[in-house]
Amino acid sequence: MKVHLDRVRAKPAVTPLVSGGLGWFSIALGVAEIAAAGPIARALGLPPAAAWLIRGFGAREIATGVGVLSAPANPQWLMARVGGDALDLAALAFAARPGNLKRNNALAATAAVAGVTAIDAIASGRLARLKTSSSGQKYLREAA
Amino acid sequence: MRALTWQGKKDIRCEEVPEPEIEDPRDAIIRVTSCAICGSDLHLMNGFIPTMCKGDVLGHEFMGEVVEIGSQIVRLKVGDRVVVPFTIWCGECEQCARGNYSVCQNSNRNRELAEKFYGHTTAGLFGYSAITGGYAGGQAEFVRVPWADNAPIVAPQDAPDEQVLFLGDILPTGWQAAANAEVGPRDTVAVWGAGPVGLFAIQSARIMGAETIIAIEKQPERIAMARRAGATHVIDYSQDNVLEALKELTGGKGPEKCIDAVGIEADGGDVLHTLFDRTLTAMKFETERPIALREAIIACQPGGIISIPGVYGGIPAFVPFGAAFQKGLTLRMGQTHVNRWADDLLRRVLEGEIDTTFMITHRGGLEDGPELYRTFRDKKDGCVKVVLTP
Repeated sequence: MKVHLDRVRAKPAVTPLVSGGLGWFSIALGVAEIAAAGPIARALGLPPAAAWLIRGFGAREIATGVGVLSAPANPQWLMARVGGDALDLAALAFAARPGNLKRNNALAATAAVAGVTAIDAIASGRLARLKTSSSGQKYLREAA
Repeated sequence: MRALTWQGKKDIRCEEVPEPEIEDPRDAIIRVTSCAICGSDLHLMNGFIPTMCKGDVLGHEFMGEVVEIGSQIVRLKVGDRVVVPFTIWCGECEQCARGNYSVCQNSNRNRELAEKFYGHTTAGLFGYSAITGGYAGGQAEFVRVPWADNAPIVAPQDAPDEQVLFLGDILPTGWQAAANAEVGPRDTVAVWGAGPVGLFAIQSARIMGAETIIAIEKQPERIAMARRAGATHVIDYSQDNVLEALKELTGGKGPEKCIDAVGIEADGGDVLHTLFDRTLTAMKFETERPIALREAIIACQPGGIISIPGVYGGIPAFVPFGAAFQKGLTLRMGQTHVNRWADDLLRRVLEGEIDTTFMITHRGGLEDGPELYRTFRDKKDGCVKVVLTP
């Protein structure tokens, strides 16, 4: 079915698409972290008790993912993701310590998380600037 | 040119877009001098209306000056000031012949899409998603008006924009709500929501002679405006149980005429009730929060009429249809057939019988639009109605 759209329209903005994608990614990652916390801990060379930490991280990912999807144009949820990414990177820094037999896995995960962090930070920064792009002129208001 | 565009859920922007051109001999190009943000624009903003596409130009309440006309236009002239109704209609189909302009059979370019959603096509609307034709809206510097000899209301050159602007949507919508409810002398009318459409429904019910008009609202500034518009009683639903209060005010009988001027995104005074619907919509078990509609059905006197100008677009859940059936209620609803009422309402406005400007609380330019959308949505700063000047 052909759907007509008006030629008078703006180009689709990229940032909300990225934001929505990050929301779904966050939920998928969170589900994976909760469902496979043990295998993830082993793959990173972490002790079995770290599985509970990974499950906690998974719950956080799901919460921020739902937040992002509920308001894709709100930079605060993406900023929250940046904060969560910092926690992930701290945990991965511990996993990437010398002597860990799975150090290469931890380094690869660190690189991946750093990449996602950069996308989170850039997208939230762009959305934050958008929120304040109004001219700021005062609106005339009549007493009701 | 600049226009307000929809770039995703809760993401409205003021952006550069191509200028419109005459695409059909029956088109006209309007230079927009005033436009407004409608409550139903908030449904689009919040993602409640399906088939919005990123980059769509918003706006279905606007007026302006005719700057170009197609070769088959005979009624409008360049230089005319026109208020453009939000419904686009052809004037040639069976529905237009009956005056059912908002269900015109030809003006929706995406009629197949509408048929899949609703069984039949509905009219094309400005700035209101692909399912209503995908037409660019009027929150812009210029707009193309198809079938321009039909719908546009020619306004006197000396009538201020703000006096006549609302003839394109919210005034006839409020009027049609009262007319659909068959409001008459000695009637008791309950109106859910004292936003712009609710306020015009109250004013219309007063003009039609209703004896008792009960507004159901919680925002203080809207309550004050409801009284000014003609409400004889107000129920603050954040303080009082609406059903009990209506029974008390009507001697236990209930209002015989109920108007749901809220629609999709209702919030009840009962937090649990609201949370229930918010959860269902989040989980996609329903597409809207029909809290006002449920209350209206339960509150309405047997044999009464429920009129619904508030917009619904999908599938509401847990609507007590059995109560509506058993009480023999009449339900009337739908997008407004603006031109059915326009001439009469223009006269009443120009004669001063209907006050159109009292609800305007905020004004700005197009560049202020995104922020004013949020102000209106959040009901901040006493916001009731926003008018923008491109």
